[in-house]
Amino acid sequence: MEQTLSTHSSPTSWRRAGQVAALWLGLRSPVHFARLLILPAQVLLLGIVVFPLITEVYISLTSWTPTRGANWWEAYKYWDWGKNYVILMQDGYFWRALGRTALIVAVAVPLEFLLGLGLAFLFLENFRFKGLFHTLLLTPMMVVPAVAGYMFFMLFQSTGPVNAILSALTGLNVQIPWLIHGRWAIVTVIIAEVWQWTPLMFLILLSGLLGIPEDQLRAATILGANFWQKFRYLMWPMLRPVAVIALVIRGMEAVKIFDTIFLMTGGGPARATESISIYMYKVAFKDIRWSYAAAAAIVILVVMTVIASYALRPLQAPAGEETT
Amino acid sequence: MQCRDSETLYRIVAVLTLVAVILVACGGATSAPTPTTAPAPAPTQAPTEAPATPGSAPTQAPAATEPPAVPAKPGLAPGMIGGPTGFAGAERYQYGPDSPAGRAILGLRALPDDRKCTTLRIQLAGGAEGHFLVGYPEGAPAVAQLFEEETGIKLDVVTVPADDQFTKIIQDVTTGGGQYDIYSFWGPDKGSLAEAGALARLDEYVAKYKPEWEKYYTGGETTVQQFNVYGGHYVAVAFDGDYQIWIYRKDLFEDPQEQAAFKARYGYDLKWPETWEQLDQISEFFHRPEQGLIGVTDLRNQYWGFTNWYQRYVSGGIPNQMYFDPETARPLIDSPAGVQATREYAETLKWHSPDALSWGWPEQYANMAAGGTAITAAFPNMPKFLDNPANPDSKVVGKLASGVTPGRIIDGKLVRRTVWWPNVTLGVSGRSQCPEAAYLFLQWANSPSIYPWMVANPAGFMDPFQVTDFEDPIVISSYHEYQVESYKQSIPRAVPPININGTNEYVAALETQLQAVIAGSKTPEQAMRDAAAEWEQITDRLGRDKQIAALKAQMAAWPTVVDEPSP
Repeated sequence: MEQTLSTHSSPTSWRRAGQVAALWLGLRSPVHFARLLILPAQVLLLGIVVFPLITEVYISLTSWTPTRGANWWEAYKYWDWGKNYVILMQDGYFWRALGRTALIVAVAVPLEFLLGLGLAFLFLENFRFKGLFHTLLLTPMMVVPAVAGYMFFMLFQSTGPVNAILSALTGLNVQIPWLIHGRWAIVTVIIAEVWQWTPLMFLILLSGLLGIPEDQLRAATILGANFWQKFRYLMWPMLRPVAVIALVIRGMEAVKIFDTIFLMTGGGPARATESISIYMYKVAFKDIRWSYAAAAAIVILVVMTVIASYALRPLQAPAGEETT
Repeated sequence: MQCRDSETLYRIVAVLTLVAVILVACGGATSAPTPTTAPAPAPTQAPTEAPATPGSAPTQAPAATEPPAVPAKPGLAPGMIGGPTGFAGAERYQYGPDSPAGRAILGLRALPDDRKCTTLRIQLAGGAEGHFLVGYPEGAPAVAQLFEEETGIKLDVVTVPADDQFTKIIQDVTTGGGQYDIYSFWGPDKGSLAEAGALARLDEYVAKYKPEWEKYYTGGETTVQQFNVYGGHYVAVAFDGDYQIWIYRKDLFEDPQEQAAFKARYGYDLKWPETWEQLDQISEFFHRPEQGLIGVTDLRNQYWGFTNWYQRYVSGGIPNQMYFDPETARPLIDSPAGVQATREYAETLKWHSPDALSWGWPEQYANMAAGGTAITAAFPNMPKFLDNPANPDSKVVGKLASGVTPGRIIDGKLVRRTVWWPNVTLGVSGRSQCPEAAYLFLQWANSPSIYPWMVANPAGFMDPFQVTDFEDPIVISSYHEYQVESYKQSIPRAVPPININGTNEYVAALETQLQAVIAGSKTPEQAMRDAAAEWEQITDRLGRDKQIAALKAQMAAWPTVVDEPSP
């Protein structure tokens, strides 16, 4: 460790300064001095990350809630050996909210990806007013999600513009109950989500495509490769890390979907659009069941950590191949 | 070795001390917070004197208090010691020493300095601050300004989004912040907040300063119990009258052609109905979506819709169909009355807007303003806004009337019940440094002298409910005589919403099941069974004994008024 530090770390002058400081403080080596220097940052990190996590785990193992009248550090008085977790395992609303969130992510994110990829390919070409369309295309993701939620709430009223347009196009009296029927409501939420976040996917993928060396594409064209072959063997391998990052980022963001649903449906009708964030909000801030919400948060944290570690594996594989 | 270690330790301490000295020299230490003074009193601490148990000890005024030594200010009527001045009719809101407002002001002036804050900080629902901070009518001071003039105490009003009041209070309590002397919250949350220790008990102060609420609240002691009492203790002071009042289009009801067509179809005269069955028939009659007219628009969305279920449900028993059996805390919503109310709640949707499940009161008000419905149930202020010639967007000016909630005929008696929801309510923080002064402000502002003046002010959304409010010419002219009359009739027939600990959980469980029935995924019987089962779980988790005690203590809050049905 000491050797590593001395060969790879700071310039010689800094190393000497460290040695002098360590000597003056009576420490055995500059490494000890370096450890001393990073100690405050470590303490800060503990305060920011570890303390809240430990607190959350502690509270989740009790039945404490503020409405019991005790302070949170007195939660041990309501210690119940993790009964919250047992209840959580049997809580249909929790699992359904988790499943519903997974459904939204599973449908919305691939749709955003495909649409974003298609649009990115379009924008590789030059056409009139490209700059204007580029700006317009990015506008949705700049809209505050709450505003987007209210906008879609208005658009998807039974007597609103969407049904009016569909009626005009089909010549029928279209009365789709977008927000008041469970299945339609979830479709509406997905539409809003796709509308708002496809531009982000487009932006990331466009930057990925622009990073592909043009000479290689030209060479492939000269060698007679068609579009699919160029995409399959040339573009996709180079685009894959960007695509994986885009999917993971959007996937993790989509799991947190809240504002749009809150404004459009409030999680209803009944609980048909209740995502895990809406569920957590209701449990924590409407029902004031904080220990139960803490238990749910821990479970979600574990689930998300596992999913994220699997989702990022495609990025790790090429790195492994390179080293071997 | 030991010597070397201690030398090392010494040098580390020396370096840290040097760093600290440098930081102090740079001013880093000047931001250190000033230590707080005395610790906050224990929340909901029992009063030191014998409390006035609500219901057992009247809050009537004692013999006349000695007039103050403070000279009366110009503009006060003879015998008055305070109140607003500077506008026509100001004397209506002035008060003498032997009145709720007078006793509050004299009490505040007599408080020793260590029990009197220089500033009272209030957390208030956004939208209600105008009642405290804006002078009305022209030439009048604001309530906060008058209070400061009379007591030297400033009011620091901090607004929070109305739906976040509860969360903010819980945050303040949980973090031990104690930032506020007075909290505002929705009335049904008073049980949860009292259990959380957020609200100070006011029994001692009520006994000492005699607000005489039972004399001045419309509905008397029953209303006081509904609004201000939880678990047998005074914990809150109501500043709103959010009774759900039914409003209808008199231009349609009084149209001879409509009357003839209605009688021909249903066999009785078209008039404001006494029963739910009649209301549903009238709704059906007027439901003409092709003409842009919806039969009825009482809300069916989350957070508001269940108030309309409540009304149908509670009128299913005589004198009331309770939510719980107070002896066991067992839910009664899976009873035949609950099933019937649920069935009606779902079936009557066919005379509503197709978007009824997503309509909130903004859509409801806008629809009525456009003349888009025949009947609705709304806050009492609907005529104030829509039957108002100054509102250029309203097409129903001069066309509205209102009526008492319909009901059911049981054992030959007509049981009509409305409900209040959500109702701005104020309480003294359990962590206030000056709870007595905070209470005295509430008594003063809530008094029959000051409250009508506050509530007449159009700068906020608080509604009237006191006897003197309904005698005030400004209130009557803005709310309209017909609405005031319905209001006065409705209040004695109003029931409390669920307001014990866990209100939001009970309501959410009920709403989910109601919406499941509307969506067709459950029958009313299944839904009410499931809702009752969820309520049982909530009760067990929150403590059945506590809930039973709270329910029993609340029995006096239920009305007993029943009527004779029309022949």
